Amino acid sequence: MRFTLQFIAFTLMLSPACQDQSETRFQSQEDTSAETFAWNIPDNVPLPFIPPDKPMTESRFELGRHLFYEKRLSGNETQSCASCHQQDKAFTDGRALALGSTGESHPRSSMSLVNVAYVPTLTWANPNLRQLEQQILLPLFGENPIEQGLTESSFPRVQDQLRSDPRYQELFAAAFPDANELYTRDQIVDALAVFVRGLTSFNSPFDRFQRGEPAALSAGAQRGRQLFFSERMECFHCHGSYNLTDSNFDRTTSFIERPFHNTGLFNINGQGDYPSRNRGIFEISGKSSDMGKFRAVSLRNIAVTAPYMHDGSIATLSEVLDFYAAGGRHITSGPLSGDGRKNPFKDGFVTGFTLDAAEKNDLIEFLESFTDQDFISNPRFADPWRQP
Amino acid sequence: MQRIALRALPLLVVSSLASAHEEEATLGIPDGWSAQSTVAGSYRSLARVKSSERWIIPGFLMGGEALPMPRGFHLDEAMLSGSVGQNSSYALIKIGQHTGADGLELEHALVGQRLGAAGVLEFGRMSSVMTPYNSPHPSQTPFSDSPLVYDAFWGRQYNDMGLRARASLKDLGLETGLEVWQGDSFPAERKDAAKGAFDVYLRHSMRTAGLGWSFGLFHYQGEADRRKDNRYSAEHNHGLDTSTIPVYWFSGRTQVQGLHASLEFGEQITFGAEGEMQLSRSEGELRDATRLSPLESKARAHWASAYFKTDTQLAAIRYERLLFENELSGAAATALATAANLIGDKDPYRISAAYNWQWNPELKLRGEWLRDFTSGRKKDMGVVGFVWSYRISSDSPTAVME
Repeated sequence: MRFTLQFIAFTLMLSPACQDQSETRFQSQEDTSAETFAWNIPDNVPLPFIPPDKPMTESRFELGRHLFYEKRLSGNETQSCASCHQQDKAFTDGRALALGSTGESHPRSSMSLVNVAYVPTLTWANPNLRQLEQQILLPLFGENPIEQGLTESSFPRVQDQLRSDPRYQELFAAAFPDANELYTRDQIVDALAVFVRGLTSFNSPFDRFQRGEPAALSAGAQRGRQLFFSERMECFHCHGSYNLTDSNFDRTTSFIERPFHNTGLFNINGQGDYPSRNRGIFEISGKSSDMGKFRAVSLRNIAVTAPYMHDGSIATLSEVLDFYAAGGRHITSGPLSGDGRKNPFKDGFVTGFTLDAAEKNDLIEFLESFTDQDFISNPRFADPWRQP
Repeated sequence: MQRIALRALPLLVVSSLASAHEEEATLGIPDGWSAQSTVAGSYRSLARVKSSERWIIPGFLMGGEALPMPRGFHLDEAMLSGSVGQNSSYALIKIGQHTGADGLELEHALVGQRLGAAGVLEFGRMSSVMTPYNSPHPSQTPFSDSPLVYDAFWGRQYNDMGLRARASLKDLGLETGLEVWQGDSFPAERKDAAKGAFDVYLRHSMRTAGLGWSFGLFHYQGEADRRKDNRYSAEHNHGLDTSTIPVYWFSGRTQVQGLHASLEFGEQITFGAEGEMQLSRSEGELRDATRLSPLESKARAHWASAYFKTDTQLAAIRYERLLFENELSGAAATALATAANLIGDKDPYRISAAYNWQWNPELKLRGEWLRDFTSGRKKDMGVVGFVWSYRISSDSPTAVME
């Protein structure tokens, strides 16, 4: 009997306390962020959705950063992820078309990796490619085109090199402390994905203005802002939200939208065609109405990611505005000739507008306010092999 | 036949206390055979929720078979059970239908082995005996509704595939047991990652002439992996349009500790009181197709009942109250808490009063009044119903001869 009473008392002591009135509480997002991963995301922005079996940890982020800048992660050891995704260019490369490790040209331009954790579909035009861990295999192992050029036969060499490197020995052990085997392909991909998901940018002058710092934007940029968010310009329909795109996905999203747009860049032979190997999601779906539809990228850091469009065919922001003002592009000669303005599959928001020179300058000034200097110079995202 | 009925009478005029003591009288099932059939039905003046609404006690993640009794006349329970024992081993099968289940259900299918006079091993599908109030069928209690705590914490009852070891010290009135469960029953959910469930219990019970008492405690732990509220799934829609029902699931660990006690005295007229307190704590994450939120949920449930009974009549009152304390975090916390109906600051409670009249040895009539605050709205309702039950066994010579 005595033991029973003691056990009852013990059980009650261990039992969770529950207060005298029912209540449901919500912790702030800041607390959550601090518990898990240093997202560096302001309170007014929701956290991105992370696959439940791919936890974000600082140790994986650090391993991923090393791998991101690792040239041994290519078939001929000449190219890393960072070769086409350079931090000072918001993780693009400044080229019209990306160039693989063997010199093969990619049909499309390198995409910025800014806030890629929020992207519901990856690459320029693939509604089915949803997870970074799937996408990362393409540049590593893809053959058409060859990017980093790894193969099943060359990959064991990469594993051996990583295994024999004292720095990676520490990094892998810290990132995957419970793993029976280290240096696996999945671990490399997972760590790269964690690093890329951690590339967050929310401290541009535009962000600071939105958070209540009027001085963050110049008068011209504020006038440009009015234009950007006007029905006259229509920009915000495809480049709205906190991430300046309509293709956005986070933990508060209840329905995943995967919008793609034909902006009237081409209209080959007047049939709505786009150049071979660059036909947008038509290449996935086979539906004629999907011809030339590409994802609207985030405009964050847009001023440092020239040239523009999926094929890098427009060199400057000024020319991009001219293109949209015209409601598309009219190519008058050559094999790609055709009036993109009349492309039958063109998005309804690309209807053209007029801008005087002052307004254009204001708008460009506003687009330049999307540049987050902290992001493009943050040591957290920089090449670790260059640091002392 | 009349003699069988008279022997069965004490079993039919039952309070839940009495049924608890029946469990404790003998560990396992003695050699011989028995069979029992039960049918219970009732008419309710009001339903807790409209037929087009889900019943979720605000603040609680619910599941299992905890469905509300509908308005009008409905069958509460229809059960058929039989057991056979030989050479200290036995088997028990119980099938039937009750509110919350679709169609016939195999509720119990177990085999057991008595180990001497004080030990039992049982294996199969069965209801937990960690507390004598688990598996509260309407036929076994003065009330037609299960205690709220079983709806909120256990999906009406804890029933799963498992292995049970029980041991008793009869002289001291002590019994202890360990139950290891596959983990397919609410609040556990096995799937890929979860690791099943287990419980341990200890209780003491004693009965002397004119006086009986019992008390006990238990600890339960179960793991859930992507546990949905399956009560209103596409397969079990219960008349609702499932396309509009939010789908969310919980992954994590649930621990429940409980204390129960009862006291009964008197002979011709018996007075009794009983009650229970359970504390639950769930830690894990709540998510839907696109969002997730870490969740810590603490809850306390207690109920107390007092009754008096004669050979043919019983009157009882019961008071039940639930308290919860939920904490969610992350940007999706509010949205998910809303979808799962976890937001609230009112304690759900229920007050019940019941009168049972044993019309004849097989048939019991029942009338109840309830004040219910378990759906965010206070409701008063009346219930009238019946319980018909018949049991025969090989320990009744008359039954065998007939």
